[in-house]
Amino acid sequence: MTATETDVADFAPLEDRLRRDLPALARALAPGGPIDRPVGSDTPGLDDASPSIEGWEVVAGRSGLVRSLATAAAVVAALVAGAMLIEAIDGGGIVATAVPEDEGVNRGTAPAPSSTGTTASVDGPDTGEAVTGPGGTPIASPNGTGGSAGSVDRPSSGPGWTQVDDAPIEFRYRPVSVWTGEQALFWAGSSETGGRAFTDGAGFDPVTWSWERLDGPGWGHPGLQAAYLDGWLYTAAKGNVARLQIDTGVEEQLPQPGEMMVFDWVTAGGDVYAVGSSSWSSADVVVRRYDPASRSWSVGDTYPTGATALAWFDATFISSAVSLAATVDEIVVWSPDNRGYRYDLDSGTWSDLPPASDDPSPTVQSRVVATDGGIALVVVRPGDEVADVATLTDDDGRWYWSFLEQPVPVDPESWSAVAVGEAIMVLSPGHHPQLIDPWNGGTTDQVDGPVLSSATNTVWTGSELVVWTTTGTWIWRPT
Amino acid sequence: MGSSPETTAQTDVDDIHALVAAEREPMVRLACLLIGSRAEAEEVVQESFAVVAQRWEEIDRPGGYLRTTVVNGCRSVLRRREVAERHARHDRPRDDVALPTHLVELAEALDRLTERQRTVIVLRYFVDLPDDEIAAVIDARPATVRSLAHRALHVLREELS
Repeated sequence: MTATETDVADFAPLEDRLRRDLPALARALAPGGPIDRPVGSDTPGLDDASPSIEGWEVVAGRSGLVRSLATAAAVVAALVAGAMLIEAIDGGGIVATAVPEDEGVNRGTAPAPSSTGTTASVDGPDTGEAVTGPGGTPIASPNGTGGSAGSVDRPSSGPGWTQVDDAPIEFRYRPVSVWTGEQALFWAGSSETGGRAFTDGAGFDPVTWSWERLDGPGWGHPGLQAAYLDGWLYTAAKGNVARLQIDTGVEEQLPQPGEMMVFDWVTAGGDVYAVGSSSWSSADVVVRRYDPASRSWSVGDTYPTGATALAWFDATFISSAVSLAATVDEIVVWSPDNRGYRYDLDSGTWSDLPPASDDPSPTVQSRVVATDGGIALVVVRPGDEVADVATLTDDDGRWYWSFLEQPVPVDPESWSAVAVGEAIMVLSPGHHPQLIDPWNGGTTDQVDGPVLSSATNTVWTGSELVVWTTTGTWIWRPT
Repeated sequence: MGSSPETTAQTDVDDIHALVAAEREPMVRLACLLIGSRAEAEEVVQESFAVVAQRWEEIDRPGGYLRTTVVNGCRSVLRRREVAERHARHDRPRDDVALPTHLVELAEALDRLTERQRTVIVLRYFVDLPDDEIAAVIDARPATVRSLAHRALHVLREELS
C-alpha cells in the first residue's frame, strides 16, 4: 500500500465526520429565520430575512438593470433589509429607496455596503511602552525614531506596488528578516562583503506604514541565522544559540542542538527546528526540534545523504548555500549540487527528492521556497539568465518536480525568491519583480513595481510583501 | 419584437429577487463556514448579491457566479482578518452561539487552516463540489485542490484527534 492509499484510508472517518458535521455547524452558525428580528416573526421561511415582494415597484428602467456597484449594492441592501421602491434616475440607472410598508414615503436611499468588503478591526501595535533588554537595554524605542506614518499616504486597500518611506537605518545585506505578527523586522545583517556587522534593526508596520527603529540586543554577526516563532527570535551565530523575546528584550541562552556544528532554523507546524550538520563538510543532514517547555532538543534525526558534502555555506561564508523550506507537512533541504531531501514531520522520516534536472552539471543557484500551496524550487543553471520554477508534487507516494514552461529573467549573479501566498516573487537587480504562480502557471512582470537595485531584503506578512532595497522601500499587495 | 425596457427591468428584478430568495440562506451558511461569523457572512453575501445584480446581463449562470463571488469575498475577509489578528494579538471575537462540543472542536480546527485550505474543505464536504469545480472557483488546478485538501485533512486530523 502506498503512502497515498494509506492516507486515503485514514481520512475516511474524518471525511465522514466533515460531511456530517459541517452542515450541522453551518445550521448552528446561521439558523434559519430572522437575524435581528424576534423569534416568532410571521415573515415566512428563509425569506424571514428577505423582503416582502409586496412593497416593490418598478417605476422605470433601461436595458441595464443596475448601472453601478453602489446602486446594485443599494438594491440588494434593500432586498435584504426590507421592502423598497425602485425608481428611475436621469442617468438611466435605478436607485433603491427604502420604503416603510406603512407609509410609502421616501426616507432616503438605502445605505450601500462598503465596496471594499467587510472591514476587519485592526489594532496597531502598542509602541507607547518602553521595553528593555537585559540590564535595561532598550530593544524597541518607545517613540519609534523612524516613525513616519504622518509623512506618507495612508495605506490603500488596493493591490500593486507602493513606495513608502525608507527605513530609518542603514541598508545592510542578509539581515534577519522576519514577520513578527506586528512588524516586518529587519535586524543585524552586514555590509556587502560581510566585513562589518550591524547590531541594530528596524520594524515596518504594514498597518500604519511606519517604521520603528530597534536598538536590538547590542550584538550581531554576518552569519547570523534566525527564525521567529511565538514572540521569540531564535538565533545562532558563532556557536552561540539563543532566543530573544522581541517584546521584552529578554534573551535566553539555549543548549546546543546536539552534534550540530552548523545549522539553520526553520519553523514548521508550530515548532522551531534546527536543521544542519555536524560540520561544514558533512554529507549528513540532521533535524532536531526545540521544546521550549523542557528547554531541550529532540533526539537528532540524522540522514546520511550520500552526497559528497552538503554546502551549508557558500564561498562568501556569510550566507547559506543550502536552502531550507518548511510547510506544515515537511521540511525540505535543498543543496546547490542539485540534490534535495525531504523530512516528513508526520512520520519523522527522511527521503531523497529527485534531482531538479537530468543535467549532471551543478546548478549555479537553486532555492526551495515554501508557498501556501506547497514546496517550489527556483533554479538558475550555468550560463542562463533565466530561472526555472518547479513544484514538488506527490503522485502516489512518488515525489517529482513539475516545471513551468516559461522561465523567468534573472541576473544569475544576484537574485532572490520569496513566497507570497501560493505564488513566488522573484527579485533580481535590473529587473522588475516577477510574480510567478507555480501551481497554475503564469508569470507577471510587475511593471508597476521598482526596477530593483543590487540587493533586496524582503518580508511577507501574509497579506503584503515588504521590499527594502538600497534605493527605497516598497509594499506589494496581491490582487 | 423586443420587450420594453420596463418589462426587461421588471423581469430582471423578479429574477434577482428569486435568486435572493433561493440562495440567500445557503450562501450565508456557506459564508459562515468559511469565515465563522454570521455578521460578516451576511455582509459578504449582501455584497455578492450586489455584484451579481450589477453584472446580471453579462453572466450565464447567476448561481455559480454568486457562489464564486461569495467564496472570494470570504477569502478576502480571511486574508484581512489574518493580518488584523496578528496585529491585535487577541483572538477574534466569535459569534455568541452555543455549540455542542464536537462542533466547537470542528470550528476551532477549521480556524487552523489557511484560507485556501478552508475554502477547499468547505466546498468539497459542505457544498459537495467536485475538485474540478472547486478548482474553477478558487482559480487553481485540480491537482492543487487535491494537494490543498490533502494538507488540510492532515491538519484537521491532527486537530480533531
